[in-house]
Amino acid sequence: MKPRFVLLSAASLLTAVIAGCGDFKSEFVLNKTTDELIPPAKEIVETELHENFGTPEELVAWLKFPIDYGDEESVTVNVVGFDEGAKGVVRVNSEDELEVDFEGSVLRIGNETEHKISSFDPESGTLHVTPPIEAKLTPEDSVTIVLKQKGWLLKRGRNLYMKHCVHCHGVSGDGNGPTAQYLNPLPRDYRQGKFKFTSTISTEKAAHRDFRRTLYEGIQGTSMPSFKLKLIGDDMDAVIAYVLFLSSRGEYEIRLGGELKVLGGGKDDLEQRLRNEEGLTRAKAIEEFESQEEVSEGLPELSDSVATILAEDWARADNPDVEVWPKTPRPEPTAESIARGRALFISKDAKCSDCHGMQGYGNGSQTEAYQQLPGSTLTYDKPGLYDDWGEPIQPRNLHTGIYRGGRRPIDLYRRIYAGIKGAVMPGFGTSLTDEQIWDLVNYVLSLPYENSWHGDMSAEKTVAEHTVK
Amino acid sequence: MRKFWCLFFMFWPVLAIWLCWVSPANGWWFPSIAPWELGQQIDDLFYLLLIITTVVFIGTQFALGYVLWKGSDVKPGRAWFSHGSHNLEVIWTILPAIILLFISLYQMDVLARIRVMSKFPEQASRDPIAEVTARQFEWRIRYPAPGKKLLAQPQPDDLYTVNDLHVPVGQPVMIRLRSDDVQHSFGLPHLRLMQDAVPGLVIPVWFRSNAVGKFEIVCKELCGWGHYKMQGELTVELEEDYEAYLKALQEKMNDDGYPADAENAVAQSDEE
Ligand SMILES: [Cu+2]
Repeated sequence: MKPRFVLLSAASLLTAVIAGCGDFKSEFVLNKTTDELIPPAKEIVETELHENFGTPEELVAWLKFPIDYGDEESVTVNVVGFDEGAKGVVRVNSEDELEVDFEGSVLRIGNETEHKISSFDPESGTLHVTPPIEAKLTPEDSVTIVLKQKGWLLKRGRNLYMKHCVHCHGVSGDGNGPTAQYLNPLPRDYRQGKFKFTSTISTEKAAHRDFRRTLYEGIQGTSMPSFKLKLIGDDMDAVIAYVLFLSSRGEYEIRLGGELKVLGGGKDDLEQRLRNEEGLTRAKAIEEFESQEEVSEGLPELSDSVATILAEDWARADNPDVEVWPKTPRPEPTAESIARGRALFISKDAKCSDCHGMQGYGNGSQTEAYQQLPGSTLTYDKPGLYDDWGEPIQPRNLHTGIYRGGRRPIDLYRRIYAGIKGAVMPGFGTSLTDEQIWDLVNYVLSLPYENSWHGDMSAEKTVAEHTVK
Repeated sequence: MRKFWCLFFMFWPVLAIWLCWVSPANGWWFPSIAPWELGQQIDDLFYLLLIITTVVFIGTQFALGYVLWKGSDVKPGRAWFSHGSHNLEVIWTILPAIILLFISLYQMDVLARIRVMSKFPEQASRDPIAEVTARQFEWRIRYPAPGKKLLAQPQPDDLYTVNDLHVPVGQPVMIRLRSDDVQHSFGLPHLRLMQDAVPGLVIPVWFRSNAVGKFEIVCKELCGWGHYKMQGELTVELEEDYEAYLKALQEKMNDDGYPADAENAVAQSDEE
C-alpha cells in the first residue's frame, strides 16, 4: 500500500466529517404571517424581532415578559494573595465553598473590570483569569466572583433545548424540526402561545406548572416523552424559560404583524386596493402606509403595547385564581353516576357524542362534516375536525385508556372544565355543574373497561414461553 | 517502510490488551458487582469467554506480527509456493468447534434460568410485579393496585407511571415487557440483564436485587433518533418502602383535586 493512498483516504474522510457537520444553521425563521406583509411592514417585524429577541446565538431577554431568565448569582471573597509578576493569578479565601463553573464565571473587581476565570483550584483558592489584572490587589481587597451571569437560565435552556427538543420543535419553536415530518400528531408549534393541556381556565394560557407536568410526565399517545430523568435540578426550569421565550417571540411576531395588517400592511389587502381604487399606485400606497404615525415615530409604542398585552396574558396564567379546582370531591364511580354521565354524554347540553361518537369511539358525526375555515365562510377541503394550527385532528377514542393530558380524575375534570386549548374540545366549566362534570369523568373513565375480561394470563404464558428469544 | 507497517499493525492489539488491563482500575469496567447471583454468574461466563478469546487473540496476533516481521526482509531467489496443509486445517477447524461446543453447553444452565419461564422462581412468575411498555422514547409502567394481581388487561384501579420502576429488595420479581412501537431492549447494566422488547410480544423478564439502591434502566437497542432519551430508573427498596411507594402512587392516581387548598397545589407542582 502506498503511503499516498493512505493520506488521500484520510483526507477524504476528514472532509466528509467536516462537511457533514457544516449544514446545520440555527437561525430563527419568519412565520408565514410575516411573509404575507408588504416589504416595509415585513421589515418592521424583522427588525423588531431582532432587537427584542436576538438570534439563537445572541439571545435578548425582554424583561417585560414574566419569564425567569435567571438572575446573577455572585459571591464576594477576600483576596489572600496576588502575584504581581503573574497578573493573571489571584488567590482568594477558599473557606467559603465556591462552586465555580468555568463556562460563565467571571471575576469582578470594583464595579467595572471583569476578568474571565479560566481555571479554579478549590483547594488553594487559586484563580487564573484573563485578561491579566492591571490594578494592584492587596490582601485587604475583596473581589466579586460572578458564578452565574444574568440570563444564565435562558442560556442554559437554549443549550438544553438545542440538545433535546430542537429535533421536533424546531429552532424557532415552530414545531418544524427535522424529525417533525415523521410524527403524528405533529410537535407543538409554540408560536400561537397555545398549549393544549393546562390547569387554567379556558380563556387563559398555560401556567408554569403545566409545562413542568408535561415535561415530567410526557404526553402519552404522542411523541412527547417524559424528561423527568433527563432534566433535573434547574434544567427543567431552564427549558421552560426558553420555551416561554420562543412562544412569546412567536406570538409577538404574529400579533405585531396583525397590527401592521390592520394599518394597511397586508399584501393581499394592498393588491385588492390597487384593483379597486383608481389612481392609486403601489409606491403611493406604500408611502401612505409608512407615513402613518403608528409605523414611524409611534412604532416603539405599538411594539411595546403588543408586548405588554402578551406579557400580561402570560402573567395571569400563573395567578392562582385562574387555576381550575373542583368545588366538590369526585363521587364514587357508581353505576348511577356512570349512567348519568352517559346520559349527559349524548345529551344536547354537552353534545360530547357529536365528536366522540355515541359509544365514545371518537367517530361522531362532526368527524364527517365539512368544517368552516376560521374567519371565513368557506369550509376546509376535507371533512373532519381541525385544530387552531390548521391540522386535521381526531376526537379522542375514549376506549384506549390513553389520556394525553393525564389520567388522574383531576386531569379529566380539568379537560372537561377548561377544554383543550387550540383544539376543538370546548370547556364546560360555565355550562355544566361540578356534579355533572364528575359524572362525565366517571363515565369516560369507565369506557376502556366496558368489555373488559378479568382473565388470568395462562393462555398468554404459553405464547410468551415459545416466543422468547 | 515495511517494518513500519509491521509495527503499525502490532500497535493496535497491544493497545487493546493494555486498555482492557487498565480499565478496571479506571472505572471503565463493569458498573459494580452484580447484586444477585445470576448476575455474578453472567460475569463469570463473561470472564471465561474473555480468557479464551484473550489467549486466542494474543496467539494469533503474535503469529501475525512474527510473519510480518520475518517477511519484511526481501530474500533473494524465488518465492516458495504452498497449497496449504490439510492436517493444520483439520486442527484449526476442530479445535474452535470443540471450544464453541463447550461454551454453548457450559452457559446453557444460566441462560435457561434467565430466559425459560418454567425455570423462573415460582414466586416471580406467579405474580408479575409490573408491566413495562417501551415506546419511543420512554418506559411506561403499569402496576396493579396494592394487594391485587397484575392482569393482562388493564384494570380500572391500575397504577401508572413513567421511567420509574420500583421493586422490593431480595425478592425475585417478574415484569411483563412489551413494546408500543419498534424494537427496544430493556437493559439493567448493574444487574447484567438485557432483554429485547418486541412489538406484539409480551416477554416475561425476571430478576432480583439483593442490594437496595437506584439503578439505571437503559434501552440497549438503537430504536430511533431519541434512543438516548430512554433512561429509566430502577429503585430497589425495602418491602415497606415499596408498599409505601405504591400507596403514594395510588393516592396520586386517584387525586381529584379536592380540597383545593394552596398547600395541596404547591405540593403537587413540587412533586412533578
Ligand atoms: Cu428504545
